[in-house]
Amino acid sequence: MDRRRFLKAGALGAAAIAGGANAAVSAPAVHTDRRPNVLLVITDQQGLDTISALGCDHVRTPAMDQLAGRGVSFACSHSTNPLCSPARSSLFTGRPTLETGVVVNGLPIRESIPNLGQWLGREGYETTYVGKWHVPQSFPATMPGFTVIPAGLGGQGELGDSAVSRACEGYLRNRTKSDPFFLVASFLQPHDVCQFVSMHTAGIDALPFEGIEGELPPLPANHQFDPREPEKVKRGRKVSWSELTWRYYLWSYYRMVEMVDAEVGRVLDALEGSGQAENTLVVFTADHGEGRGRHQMVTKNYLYDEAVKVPLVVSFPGRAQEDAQDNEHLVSGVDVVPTVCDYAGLKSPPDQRGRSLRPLLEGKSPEWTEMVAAEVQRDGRMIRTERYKYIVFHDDPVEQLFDMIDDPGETRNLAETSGHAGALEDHRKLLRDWEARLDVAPVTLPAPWQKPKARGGRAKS
Amino acid sequence: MAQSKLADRDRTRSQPLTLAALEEYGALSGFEVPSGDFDPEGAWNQTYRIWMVASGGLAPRPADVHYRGFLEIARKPSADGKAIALEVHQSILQQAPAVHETAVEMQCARDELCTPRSWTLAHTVLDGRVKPMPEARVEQRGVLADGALRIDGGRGSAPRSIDLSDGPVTSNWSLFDAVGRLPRKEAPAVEFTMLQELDEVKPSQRITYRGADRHTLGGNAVRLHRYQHVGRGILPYHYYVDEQGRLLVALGGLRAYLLDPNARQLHEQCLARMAERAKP
Repeated sequence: MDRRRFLKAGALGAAAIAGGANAAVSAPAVHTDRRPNVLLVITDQQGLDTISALGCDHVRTPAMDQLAGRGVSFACSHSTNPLCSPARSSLFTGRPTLETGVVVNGLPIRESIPNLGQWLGREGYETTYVGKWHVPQSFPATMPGFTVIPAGLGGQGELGDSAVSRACEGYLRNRTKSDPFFLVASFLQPHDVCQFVSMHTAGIDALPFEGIEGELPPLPANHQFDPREPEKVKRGRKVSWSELTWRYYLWSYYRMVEMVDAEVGRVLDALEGSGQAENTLVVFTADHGEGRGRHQMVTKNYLYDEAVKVPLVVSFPGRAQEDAQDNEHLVSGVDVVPTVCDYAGLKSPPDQRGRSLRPLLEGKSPEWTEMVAAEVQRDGRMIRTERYKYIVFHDDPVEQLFDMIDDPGETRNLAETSGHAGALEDHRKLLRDWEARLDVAPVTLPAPWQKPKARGGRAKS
Repeated sequence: MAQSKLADRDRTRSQPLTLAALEEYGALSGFEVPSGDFDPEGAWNQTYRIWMVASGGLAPRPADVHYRGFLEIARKPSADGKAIALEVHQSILQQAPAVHETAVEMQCARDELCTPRSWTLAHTVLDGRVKPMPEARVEQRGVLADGALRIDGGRGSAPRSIDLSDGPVTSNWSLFDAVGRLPRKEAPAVEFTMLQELDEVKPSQRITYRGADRHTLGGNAVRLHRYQHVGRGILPYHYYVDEQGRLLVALGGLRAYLLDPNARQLHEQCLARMAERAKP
């Protein structure tokens, strides 16, 4: 196929995929340079500070450490919505969940919005998916935009993740095509911690395994919390455990992180052995974090940092800095799509809400966004600026404002403090302005989510 | 203690996984406690049914919603008695549906941990029609010698070498053999590095004998020796070994390996159902 026909086919393809209000998309420019491969590695329920090279003392993660050593790690990286399906919808579209329509688990991405596989596939990328998808099916045999190599088990990452890494290994070894590839390796661990929590709701009186007492991590510094919380945050507090149970849970969680680290390592080794590592952009991230006893929380689906902050490491030999940590710039799951497109030499899909991280990866200091936003539980919102984090639920009078410089553990709610009234109003306005810019998707919730409840659509003034 | 707010969606996620819990769930229903002689130093063949806490997916029988696959291990001492050949066949049902199969032939040292010395490994993905997907196949050769692990992945994979000179090394599959021969007395932990599936290096492992007790398996009382396995990169395991040295149950994390001579047959029934369902 000659280049003119290829671009024509691409434009037609874009119209077929997009449809609706966002249908008018011109063919993106394609650079003549050799286009890079893309490897996107996603873990599930991995909090930001769970990588040994980045300061976590309770875990050994040699594969993630190696990746961090080869790239840039972002310390201010946020999920767009700390729940599986919503967060993943943003990772693959570059849009917040109010726009993708995936506001709870098990919903599909709005039909008019292409996923990254569809977008890159039109441009000659071989797009392959292995592992958990969950937008909406967890482990489908087919999905739009990707060829699927079926691997993985719902609720059983410890058994399914090795199948994911082996399948990725096989794919990287066996491919003979010269087209660039976009491979997604989507692991379930450490999501198995949800099973652990269920299995230990009653807590433990003694450790079930002898000799591990000295290995148990301590309770986190912010195990206590300011009780001035919205009701939905309070209702998310699922367990009431002894210190021993909390520490055993932490110990078990970090073993799960180590388990997925080994699987990530297998994929990275396979990439290295395939001879394609030098021309492959690797993006490593997670959909959301895990409570880990901070604020006496477990699992996810709320907006404290332990749930909303996720690892984000980007590596690209010779085209991004190595062994660098960005502790300054606010970044989010909506930044993955524009970053990949930028390196691939492609225009991003329309109406992107994130930015390419490429200037940061190259060590430049561009003017950057002053805030990131996140959503949760349909009406929960977060605005994070350099200094503050603001959390509100539209139906709840209790707002939260935290000084993230003086109180990074989010233990003192300043929302009712007179000295912070100005900051509170500034963040309310940021939220209103952000929401006003969005193309909010109509959503039909699955039956279990439908409740006769009045909902506000805007932040309080 | 305040009442937990979690609802029990599935009773198998309502308590930690123990032998007693498995018995309560009916997972050991029909468990055949083997009788007769067994020589853990000799030639044997054992198959295990893999049971998982989370339910769902295709199963041999509708009641087997926790079934996830089988593991078969065959042991054969060499003629000169100096080495052990271990053949492993593992088949795990995936959610999509699909099947992932691993076939391994290991030449191991005749030592405490059945240390792998060389091996071949083949991993195959079968799609929902139970047809192989060649694009996902993995073939690997490995050698553990002179303190180094060398893995050759064949075409499309450059060989690599990993330093493993720091102490004993074994594989997760070798442990199904080794625990049957470990001492049954209070002793310092056996410490080692584990090669998970022969290419994921997991240091700082230790197995400790935790005594013997009577347990009920499938309604039958049996005295079992328990070994505890903890280490980096795993959730802890308990191995339950009978008086003859057979490993009857391995319990770890969210899964259990249950000795079952019918496991392969069950699995084939499952694959037949999968293929039938995939027909247009």
